[in-house]
Amino acid sequence: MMKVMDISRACGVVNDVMLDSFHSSFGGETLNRTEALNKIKLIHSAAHKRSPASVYLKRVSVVILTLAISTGMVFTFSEDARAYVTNWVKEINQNMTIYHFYDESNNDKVASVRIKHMAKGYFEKSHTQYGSPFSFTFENEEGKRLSIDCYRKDKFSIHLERDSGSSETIMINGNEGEFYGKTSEAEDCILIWTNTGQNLAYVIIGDLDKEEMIKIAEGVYTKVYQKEGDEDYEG
Amino acid sequence: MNKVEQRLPLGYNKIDNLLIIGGSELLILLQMFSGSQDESRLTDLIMRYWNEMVRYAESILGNHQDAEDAVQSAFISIFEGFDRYRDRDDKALETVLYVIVKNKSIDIYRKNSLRTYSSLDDNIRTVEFSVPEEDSLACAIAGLPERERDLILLRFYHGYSVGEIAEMLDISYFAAQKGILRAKNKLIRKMEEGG
Repeated sequence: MMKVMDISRACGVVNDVMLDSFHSSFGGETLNRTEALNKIKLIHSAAHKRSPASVYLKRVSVVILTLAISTGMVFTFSEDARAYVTNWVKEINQNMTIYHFYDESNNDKVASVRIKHMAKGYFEKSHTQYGSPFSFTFENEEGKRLSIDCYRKDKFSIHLERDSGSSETIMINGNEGEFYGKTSEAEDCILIWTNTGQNLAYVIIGDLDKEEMIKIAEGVYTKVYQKEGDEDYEG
Repeated sequence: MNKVEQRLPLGYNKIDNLLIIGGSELLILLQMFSGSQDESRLTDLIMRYWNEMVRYAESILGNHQDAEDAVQSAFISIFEGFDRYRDRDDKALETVLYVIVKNKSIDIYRKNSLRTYSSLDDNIRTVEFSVPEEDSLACAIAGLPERERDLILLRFYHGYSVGEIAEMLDISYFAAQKGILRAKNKLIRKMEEGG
């Protein structure tokens, strides 16, 4: 009688020999890290195109923004309290602030984007439309990056690994926003705001002072349309 | 379509440390995973196996673009189902990747050529290998048709459940279950015939 253990053992032999042969036949030059990360972008783009309300968005109803620090990655949190702020509900945890937006039930489609102001020395590195209406990355000669992202309020909430108490309220073109300054050299500043009347939320992350970040934010103009014939209006 | 109406000067500065990530697309992808270890692991997987898998897929499809599509599709599957692979070692992932790439390549092959799967079996290039003759069970497993061998390896060596295998290979639960049973029965018959 053939036992599962026997099959498992024999499978192990086959598996090893098969993979060795596979590597001999098809192995060779590997990708470098840059190339691998570019592949990841393509993979994400393809996955999103395949299914707009895809597994990426379905499984995860939030966006966790990583701060542009050298090892900055994803983090965890535990729930503590909630605070109410215009245009969003802010959930405050130990070291995390989460912005949950109202369900605007608009379905604003971004037709075009203009970024009228950029900090001196920064040039556009890339702009994409993956999983959010748009995303721009700028860079300067020192390699410092600045990102401008726009999200659909009904699809995302935004998690920031920042103490809410470190933010200050600011105004962007008459809309309320919040600015987080640097608390250490390794951190970037964050500016988050929404436009009333639009189903869009914006986030800028970069190593610039508050005034410069506000100026950039005020220069972000988004044309949206909901149906043909609608008068375009700007964010 | 989005367009940037005011273009700023384009320039390129080679960035060595690509862990500094800007733009939301990678962030959305990365936050699917439990931490930086996942991101690092997935990057490593792609670095190590992308080209090899493309070469393999190209051996099936005879076309580089289709091969890239197959491998891309395979990695999407891996990424989306990473919960089930997270605790597996790299060798386990290699087999899974190999099986999924083959599966995706077959899908593309079928779409392109409208041939039946059974005729594809004859045409697909398998990886040639041999196991020690004295190990009759290993020989029997190695001698199974490609698809059934994959099912047996995934089920009895790598320990994936029937449901997980079905998801991996993009087949129904019952197709996976039936395939595994059929393969196992074939092995039993072969071993009994062998004495």
